[in-house]
Amino acid sequence: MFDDTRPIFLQLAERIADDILRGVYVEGEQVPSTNELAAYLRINPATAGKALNLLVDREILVKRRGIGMFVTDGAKGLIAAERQQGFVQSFIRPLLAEATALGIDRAELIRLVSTEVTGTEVTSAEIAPAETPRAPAPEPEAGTP
Amino acid sequence: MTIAIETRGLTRVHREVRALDDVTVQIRENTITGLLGRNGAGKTTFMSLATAQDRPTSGSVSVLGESPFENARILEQLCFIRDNQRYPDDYKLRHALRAAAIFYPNWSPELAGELVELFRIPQKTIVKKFSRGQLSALGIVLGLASRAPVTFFDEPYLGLDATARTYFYDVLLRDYQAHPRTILLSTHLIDEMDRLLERVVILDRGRVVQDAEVDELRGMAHQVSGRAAAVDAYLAERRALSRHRVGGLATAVVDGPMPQGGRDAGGELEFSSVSLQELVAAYGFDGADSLGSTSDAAQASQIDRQGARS
Amino acid sequence: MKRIITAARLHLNKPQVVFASPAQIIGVVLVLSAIIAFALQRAGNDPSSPDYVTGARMNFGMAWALPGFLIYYGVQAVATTFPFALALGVTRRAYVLGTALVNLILAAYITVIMLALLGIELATGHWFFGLYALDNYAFGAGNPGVLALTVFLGVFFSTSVGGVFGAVWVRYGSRGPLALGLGLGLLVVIALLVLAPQLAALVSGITGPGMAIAVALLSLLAVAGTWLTMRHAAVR
Repeated sequence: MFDDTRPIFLQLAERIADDILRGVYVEGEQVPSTNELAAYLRINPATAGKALNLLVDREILVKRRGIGMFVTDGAKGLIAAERQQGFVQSFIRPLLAEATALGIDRAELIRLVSTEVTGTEVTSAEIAPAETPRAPAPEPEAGTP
Repeated sequence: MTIAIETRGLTRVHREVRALDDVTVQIRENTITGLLGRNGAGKTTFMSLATAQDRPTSGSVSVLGESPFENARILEQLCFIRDNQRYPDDYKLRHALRAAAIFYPNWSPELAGELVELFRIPQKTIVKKFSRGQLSALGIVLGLASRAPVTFFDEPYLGLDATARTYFYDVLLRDYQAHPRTILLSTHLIDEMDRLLERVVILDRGRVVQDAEVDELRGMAHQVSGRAAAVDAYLAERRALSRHRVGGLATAVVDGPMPQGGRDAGGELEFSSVSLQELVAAYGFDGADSLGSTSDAAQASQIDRQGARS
Repeated sequence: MKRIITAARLHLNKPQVVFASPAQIIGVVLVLSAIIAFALQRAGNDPSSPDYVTGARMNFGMAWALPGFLIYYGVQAVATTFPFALALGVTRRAYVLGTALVNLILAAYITVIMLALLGIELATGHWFFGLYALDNYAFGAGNPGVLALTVFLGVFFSTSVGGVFGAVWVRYGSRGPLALGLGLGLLVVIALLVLAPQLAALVSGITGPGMAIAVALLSLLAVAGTWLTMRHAAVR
């Protein structure tokens, strides 16, 4: 559930943010309490508390005294914005690094990405020399599912 | 934040061995703190001194603000069941439970009953004939059900199977949340237990090596690996906590935060974070000392030359 | 005071050891004495003759039955129960005093048993067949006052001495009791040599009040010795 690359409270905060992003917790809904999280995940309550407080600081959660922690209105948008900022750092750079290590050149890389985006096989001929790939007309190949 | 246990220059010398050497720490109230380190590092001695079962050679220890020695008011709030605890002759489970009930005003018979069942502690066998696991289970029952304001556990998991250990962690967390108290526990199963801990104190040869929050601590060191020569160059300006070398490859745990990025520019070195267990193990290494980089580099190049010759 | 009583309760937690064992030992000795008396009479000894009575009153079995057990009890009370008491947060002072309190209770308990048995013995004409178990010279030949004092002090003394040996073992390890035993033995030998001229007079005063006071004082000394030893004892 948690790995040892980063502090647990950070990983937990991310998990909860993930859940909010994907709609597991909707805006206005209550999230589990510190004690519930600690017991369920088998972690120290202070760690669970730190994670929740971090999200409160980022205005993703709000504390209602005596009741618990709730997802703020606009939390989803906030998280998405934050993630988008980190998107290049967290996903694109590692992708490029791995591609380089595997010897996948830029054109091939873009072809692979386009295939994933459109859902059907894209040939290299259809990739425009320009940076941004245009959605090409699908050309069914024999045996392609 | 109140301090539950405070030691100042605490030293215990026994037959020329410095079991504890100038230990100054503060354990906060209502936290779960881990006491980590190699066997013989001084963990049990620390707990012994905190509970006045043993007396310091020099320095001081105070618990809940006062010296615990022969101090009934303080001692009544402590519970320390050792890993090799002796019980009176012919004691059975019920005698031990009854005794604890007499001494601990917060004693919970319900919790004790629940734990006895979970751990399957035999009722009819005398405690002297308990297996290692059953003894540990008994220690856990007494320690947890006492609900003593300051509770000590010395390697409480010895002999317990994985299921029993999971029960222990679950009940520990649950009861700790319902009835907050100060818990100090020593453990070697760091990977398994580090998420239960808020703070850790790491001991090595009787001295405090670290006293910090778990998260803080893990950010204070990192691992570097790659070709031995490249690693040595990297270590030239830094303090290595431990070093591991096989053939031309080396790995080291290094003091200081990880540099940005997972690999350095040349791709020769790979950086990764350390788990708490790896960090504690590194502190206990004898190979890398605290004197600094030059001696490490000299030692390393000497090994290199020997390696080249063979 | 409350804490001393709580510490005492730790010993009484296993009443079987404290109360049942001594009673069983007394019972066994009584039965053994009965068997011996029966055998003697079958061999032709007449229970009503004065020689028989004198001889029977020299049966000190009852007096010797218990000290061995009591010393064992005193040792274990200090040696094995002590680490557990410390684990539960008892101070050494409360523990030593609590142990002494239980030893007093034990002494009273055994005294009551012995007195009751003496009462029965005298009332039944020595158990209907001339068994002199409680009525012996060590216990004052049928005098309940002497018996009570002797038994009470004897039990308290035995358990306290056992306690000191236990404390010495806890503090100094296995060589401790050996050293103490040798040291005390040496003291006794020296005392005997010094007092040799007055020895006869001392022995005849053996059930005198002076002896009683001496034993009581020695017991208290043993308790104090236990505490002083324990005060600096560490539990490993």
